[in-house]
Amino acid sequence: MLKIFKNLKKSFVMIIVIILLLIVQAMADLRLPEYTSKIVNTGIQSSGIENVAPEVIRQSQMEKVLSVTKDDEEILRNYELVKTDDNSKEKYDEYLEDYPELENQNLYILKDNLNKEEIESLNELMAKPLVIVSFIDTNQLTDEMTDEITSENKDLVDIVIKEIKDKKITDLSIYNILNILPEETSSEIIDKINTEIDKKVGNMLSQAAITVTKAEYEACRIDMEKYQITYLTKTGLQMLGVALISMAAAVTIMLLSSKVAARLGQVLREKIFTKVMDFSIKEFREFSTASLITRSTNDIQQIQNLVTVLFRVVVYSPIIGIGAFIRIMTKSNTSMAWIIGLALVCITAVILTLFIVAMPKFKKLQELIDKINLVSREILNGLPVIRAFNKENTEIKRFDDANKRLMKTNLFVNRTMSIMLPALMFIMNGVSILIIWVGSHNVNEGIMQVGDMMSFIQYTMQVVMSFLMISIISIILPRASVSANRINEVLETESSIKDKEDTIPFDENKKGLVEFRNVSFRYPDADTEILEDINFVAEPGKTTAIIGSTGSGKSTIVNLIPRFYDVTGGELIIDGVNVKDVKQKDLRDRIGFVPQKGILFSGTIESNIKYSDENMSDDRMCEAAEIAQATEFIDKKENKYNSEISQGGNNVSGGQKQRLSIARAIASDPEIFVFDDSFSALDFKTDAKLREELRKKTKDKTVIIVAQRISTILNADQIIVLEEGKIVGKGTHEELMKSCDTYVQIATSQLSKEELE
Amino acid sequence: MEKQFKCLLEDGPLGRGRGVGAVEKAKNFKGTLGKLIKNHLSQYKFRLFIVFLFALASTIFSIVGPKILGNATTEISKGIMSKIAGASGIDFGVVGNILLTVLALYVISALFSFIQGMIMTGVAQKLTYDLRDDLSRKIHKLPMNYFDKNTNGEVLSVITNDIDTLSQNLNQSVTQIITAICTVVRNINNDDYNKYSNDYYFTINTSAFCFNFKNYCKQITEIF
Repeated sequence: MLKIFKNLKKSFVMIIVIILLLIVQAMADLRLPEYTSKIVNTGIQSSGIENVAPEVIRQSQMEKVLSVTKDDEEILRNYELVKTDDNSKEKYDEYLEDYPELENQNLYILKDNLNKEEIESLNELMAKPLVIVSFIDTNQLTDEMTDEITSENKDLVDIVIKEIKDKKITDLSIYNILNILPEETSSEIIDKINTEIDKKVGNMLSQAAITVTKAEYEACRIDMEKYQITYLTKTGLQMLGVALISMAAAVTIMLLSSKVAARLGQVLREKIFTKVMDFSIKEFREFSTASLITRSTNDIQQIQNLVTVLFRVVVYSPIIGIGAFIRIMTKSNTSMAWIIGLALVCITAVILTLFIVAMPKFKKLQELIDKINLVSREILNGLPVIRAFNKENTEIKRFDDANKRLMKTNLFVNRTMSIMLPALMFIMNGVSILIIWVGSHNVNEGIMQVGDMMSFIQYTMQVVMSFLMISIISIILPRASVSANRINEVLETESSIKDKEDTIPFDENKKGLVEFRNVSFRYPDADTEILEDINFVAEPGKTTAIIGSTGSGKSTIVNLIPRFYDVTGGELIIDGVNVKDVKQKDLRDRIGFVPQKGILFSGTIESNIKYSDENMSDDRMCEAAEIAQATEFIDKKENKYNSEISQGGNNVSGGQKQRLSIARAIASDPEIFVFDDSFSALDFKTDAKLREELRKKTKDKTVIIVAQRISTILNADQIIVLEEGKIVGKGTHEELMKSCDTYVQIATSQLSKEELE
Repeated sequence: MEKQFKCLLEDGPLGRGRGVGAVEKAKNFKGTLGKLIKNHLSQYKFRLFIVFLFALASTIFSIVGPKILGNATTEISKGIMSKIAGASGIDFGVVGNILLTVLALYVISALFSFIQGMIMTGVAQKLTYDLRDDLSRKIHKLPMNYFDKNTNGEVLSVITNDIDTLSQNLNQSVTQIITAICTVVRNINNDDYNKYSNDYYFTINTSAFCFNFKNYCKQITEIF
């Protein structure tokens, strides 16, 4: 897997960008619940009031507040007193507009140059006094709490009563009393009240204080509806902004990671293709063509799919998961963390169960798709035969069997999977219900606020989601790594036939000389020699023919010449150089090879003949076609040289295929012609004519012909007779007729006595 | 893809050979789709109708759910406000009832969505089977020159890949269309919510996370 990912190097910059964007997105996504919390807590519940410390407070109210606290100075330091008749002040009009109550009474206005910490500490200082004042004003304190305070401390009451009498206090409001009482006594009373308030409000002090602040704002005739809407709009817009950033990042990430994945696919395909082009026939036999095709299509696609989501899962999910978890642990309280644990356990259970059930079928699915592929391929390839034998119904039935089995397995797998989405959805929804239920109790106890509860739901979802993503990738990963291994196998296989590091050039004086010196050959996994002790020289300007019965090793000999295989014993010398010492490209440039089966490529006749060199002149192409006796049928075609050739040349006859592949070899103008039984599909007349024309063209070339038909080779300069991988005769037709029994047998079986003489 | 289908299923033998490397575009997407629906989907009319109903119900429930859940949140915040003002606090009976109702809704929604998934999978797979079956029959009726113009590989990938893609898309898009309709309807109805601004925000938030969740789920299912 890692080796495959090394191919991502090219996209290094893009990957960095993706990772950065993922971090941006994760950060943005983590911010969103905060805004939810803000909108609910501050925007809705607190009417948009962010701070306990009021930004404006009536002078009368401020005096009450100050009388129940000891921190008078610290509070007052942050406020500025604006008097009703102060209209000379520069900001007076502004204040009047914001706080219409200013026209009736003096207001304390919060200085606007305070920093966050100062406001925070002010919040703390003022929360309790504000609540106390509100309790006193709404008479909640007097009824129950005064009893409490007084019952505990009779002395205090006496002192207060004495003080009142002594100083002849007429204003009997608590504030006044507190102000008049000696420092000691008043602070004692304040402490008492504080403890009582703590009992009553408990954890909800700041929420209670906010309500007081709101009442104060209303008293100052601030338009609270407008105030709230302003806050909501502000926070809402910020939230929208963050959401937009997250979305933009997500889109860009998707785009980039698709690009990276596609590029990886491209690189891998290119690598496999180049590698496969280098493979010798040995490696093809090992891998099999079909498998090589699957590896370069399906397997690469798998990797590509994985990479598209991989970055997201590897980078984004952990950040979100851990980030959300940290926020839950630090910001809200931890008493609900067990719900997350529960959710994770449920999800794991669902996923695991489904996969244990579906996994074996997943594997089977792949096999069944292969089967459909196989049957269809067979039907398509064998269509002429099927039609000729009227076997359509059998084939339809065969296809139907494969089709049905695939459908059944697909049904099972997909139905199992269709449980997953509703199940997961239900777990998620259930979790949010659970959170609300548990959370509502916490809210009631003042441990958390409603907005915190909602952001807790969102954070929980984020943790659960990232967990889900990671657990699913851990299921996909093994499957993708199978594909990765299959690709690696191809990439790591070294072709058994390779160019040497220091190759030498051909000897230009020995053009077209092919020498077999004691050559023997066996297939890698076979234990018998296919060829043994082969010695012969094919000279330029001469035709060397190889003949022998089926399986005698004729084709093997000619396959050695372009180095499709390496000899396992002896030496093969071409142009005076061992073929192992030259570049394969140079070697093959010199050889015009015509294989046993005429192999054509999809395209046109022209593209096939000009295969060796696209820029070849039309004259050369026509000449080659003429020599190969192909003009006869090409001219009959409507589009002549532009006639279509289908894949594998299926739309031309065997003989035409052979002639076109001969034309292709002739057009490449090589030094050495190798015809591997390439005349077999031609009728005798065409065969003879072709060879005659060929002889003219190949005057100074080396020609090596493998043949079954003796008539093809009668006039060869040298005939090599093979039997079971050994040379049993070498010479001209006449010589062999006298000396070689095997040759005589072949000859007499094919030709009549008259023809032989 | 549609074009290939068209070729194979409708007028394939007329031999519109494709140029090498030409970019494929649906020539007559509507027409092809129409024929596809008429010829192959129509026999599943009843089942598709059921799927539609179940998907509709499931979607409605999953949309109504968060809205009712919003009521619970409203109830909680009312309760806490009253507690701050000195009253008794949250009425857990009411909250509990609301939550149980929502839970029931979610159970039904999950159940419906599951049933819908089951039937839809059935239809999609059957359709895949039918299409393949039709193709395998059609192959035996096409004149040979069709195969001269189209490589075996092309025909093969119609049989395997293209049909798979079609059935997958079918499975997803039916559900998606229904969900989309419901979402639009809900958004229109949302105007009423403005009256209760608290409600409104809760609903937005709660449904926002549901929406997010759906996206996540989609991503996840796409991985498979």
